[in-house]
Amino acid sequence: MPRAKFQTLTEQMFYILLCLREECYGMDILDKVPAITQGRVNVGSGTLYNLLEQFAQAGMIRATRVEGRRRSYLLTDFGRDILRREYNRIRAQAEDYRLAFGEE
Amino acid sequence: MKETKRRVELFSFYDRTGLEAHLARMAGRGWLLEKIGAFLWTYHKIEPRQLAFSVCYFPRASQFDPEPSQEQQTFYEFCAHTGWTLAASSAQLQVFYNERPDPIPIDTDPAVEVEAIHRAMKRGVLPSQALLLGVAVLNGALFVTRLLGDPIGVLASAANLFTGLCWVLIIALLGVEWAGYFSWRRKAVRAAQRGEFCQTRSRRKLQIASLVLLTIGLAYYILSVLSSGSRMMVTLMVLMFCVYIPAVFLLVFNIRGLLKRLKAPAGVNRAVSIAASLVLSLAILMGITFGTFYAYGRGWLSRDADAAWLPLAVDELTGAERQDYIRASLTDQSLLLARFTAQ
Repeated sequence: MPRAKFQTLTEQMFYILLCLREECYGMDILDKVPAITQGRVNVGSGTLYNLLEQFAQAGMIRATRVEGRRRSYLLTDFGRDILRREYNRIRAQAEDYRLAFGEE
Repeated sequence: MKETKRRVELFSFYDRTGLEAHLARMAGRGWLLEKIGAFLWTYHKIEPRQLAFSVCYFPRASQFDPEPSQEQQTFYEFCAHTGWTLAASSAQLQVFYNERPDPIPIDTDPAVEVEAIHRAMKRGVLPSQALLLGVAVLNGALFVTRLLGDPIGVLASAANLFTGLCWVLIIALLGVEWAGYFSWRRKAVRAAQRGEFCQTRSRRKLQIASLVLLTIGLAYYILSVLSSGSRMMVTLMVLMFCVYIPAVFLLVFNIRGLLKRLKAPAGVNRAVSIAASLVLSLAILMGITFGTFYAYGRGWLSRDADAAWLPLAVDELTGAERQDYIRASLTDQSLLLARFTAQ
């Protein structure tokens, strides 16, 4: 069954939104995500461009500053809610794992 | 030593897997894509090397844009940040290459990629293909109706057989193309839900086979017309293939190119180009038809009437010369049948 849009977030969506907890230029996210994840997650330039557009359309982020073609974004309250819901979902999964196998 | 190479490339618009592999092979042989034209792709000579290629889609771009929009340029800057250089683009289709070993792909989320391809297809390819398919089905149906109503006339005419072949090929190619795309999309959406990319499948062999079949059909049609001895048919064919079709394409592409150079907005360029293509194709076609029939009426194009074929005329009975009617013998001939008409 198709997943409702942004009902759950992919890893890349999660980290892009996480980067935008503070004002940030779109292009800088390309470097920030691998930095936060120690290179475990990379976001492609096309994917980032399209996701920023979709997040902005969904009201999850907003453009704060435009300098020429450089545009900076910030997470909105709605975006923060979605991010928190995803965090709770991941935490619940981790808790279920802990209950099943204990601390390893 | 040749510095540029032009090739006809037969790839489906969405076939990014086939295109990327082909362009990497070309770079390995020392040819880098430079321009995507309406019919030919241009490559320039480079030192043979391994380059990574990425074919992606910018749905809002249009072939009528005077230059890449601000958003498109921002997209290019994002790509340049990860080492991707734009090689060439055509409307929504964007081709990048990267010299870094093992670069980060431009598309790393399959669901986002499938959506971008579908938006580009809906905006650029599917509407024009739907229109062409509609015209082809309509003409195919007319061909079948004519075939049922006048089988001798249709089967004896090389022109009818050739145009019938064209419409059948167009219907078959577009049918395969649409079935292929929607089948790929269904698989790609399912794969994206598992976080996987779905490779596209090339149909080059089918496209090459169709092109070969079309060339054979065209050659047969040309030979049939030339051997018919009908000056009117030969003149019409020469005008059609050497004047009408090249003139319409050249004029329409040049109008579009001129408006792009003049930085006309995409909407204006689209409207003017479509209007120009309709008006010019109608005007040239009317000119050719009128001119040919005028010349035929004057006797400039008619073949000398073959007395053996022609019915008995009044002047043969009375001995008086009459100039107020035309005597003609017509021959229609195809691989299947021949029809001789005298009047």
